[in-house]
Amino acid sequence: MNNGPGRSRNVWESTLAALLLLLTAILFWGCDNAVGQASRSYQLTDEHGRAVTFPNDYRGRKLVVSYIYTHCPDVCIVTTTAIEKVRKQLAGKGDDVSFVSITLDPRRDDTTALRQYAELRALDTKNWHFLTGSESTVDSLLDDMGLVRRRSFIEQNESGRETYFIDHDDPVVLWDREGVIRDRFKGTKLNPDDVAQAIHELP
Amino acid sequence: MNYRNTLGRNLQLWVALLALLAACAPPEQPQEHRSGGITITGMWGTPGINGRVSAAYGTIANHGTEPDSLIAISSPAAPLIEVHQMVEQEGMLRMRGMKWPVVIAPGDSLAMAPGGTHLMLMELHQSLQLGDSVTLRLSFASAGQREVRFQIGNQQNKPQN
Repeated sequence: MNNGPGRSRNVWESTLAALLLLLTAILFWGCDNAVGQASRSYQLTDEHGRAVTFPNDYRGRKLVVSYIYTHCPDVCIVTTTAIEKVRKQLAGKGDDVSFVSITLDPRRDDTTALRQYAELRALDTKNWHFLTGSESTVDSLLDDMGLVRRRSFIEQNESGRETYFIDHDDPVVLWDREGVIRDRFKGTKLNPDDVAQAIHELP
Repeated sequence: MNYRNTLGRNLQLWVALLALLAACAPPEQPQEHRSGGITITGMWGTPGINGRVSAAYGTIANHGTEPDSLIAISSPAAPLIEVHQMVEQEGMLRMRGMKWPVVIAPGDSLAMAPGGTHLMLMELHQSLQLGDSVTLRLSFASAGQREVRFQIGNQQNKPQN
């Protein structure tokens, strides 16, 4: 029989180990959510006005997700240009990849604006979709993805229309065919070779 | 008659010589716009939707011995143009407007590149697409007004002005 301080210490050590394991699991789970695990599906529209259920419609394909808005003067353009380089690198290499850019500004970015954004840059939208939706749906999606964002430079122009820009994070997130997020890159510091390689290695 | 022929031949010679000199003259440097100590080089801009925004990049250098200030920018393409900087704060990329005038110290330059400092053309009068040209008028306190014409392009294929 060992009812003394030795047994008590064992119980404490076991409890502490279990708590540490639990904490580690919570942290990992939390990190996954911060990267952008979708907790549900969202009804969106692409740049041609076609209905898209995100992310379900992309199951079975590798997916590259980024975030932009059409009033964005600089950051989104840098990210978009880098993704275009990745897309060109992967073209014809047999990877079944879809690219998705979701608006950060559903209030102003309708399907026409997103289509113009792509057309003015001569982007091929065959496997690259620019998605928008109702404000509530897109905001829920962005919250779900852990997107940090905030309106800035809020002003009214001469015609009384509100103008603003959006401060935001710039992630480019890789999803595997099962809809599991596997990797995350910084859009403005994207190395197209690294991303193309990571996509190629996705299960 | 002989005198006329000689004169004609001399005239032809002079015209040929002048043409040769013109051909030998150094070509105009369209990429560099110099005024006083200020040079503006490598300007290009990004596509933008009518009523929305476009960014322009390039370098404004002060080669003079005194500071100079960029005091205003205007363009037929947009009613409002500002100098903005991107900074990373609180996990976000945030845009910060630079206050007028933008002072450029002697020997220093205002380098504008994607992801950093840029000229922001706001409320575009019409959409700007790849290959379009844009004119900017930049006013400097000392160097005066300079006009720059540049093309719309993208990062992987910057247009050469």
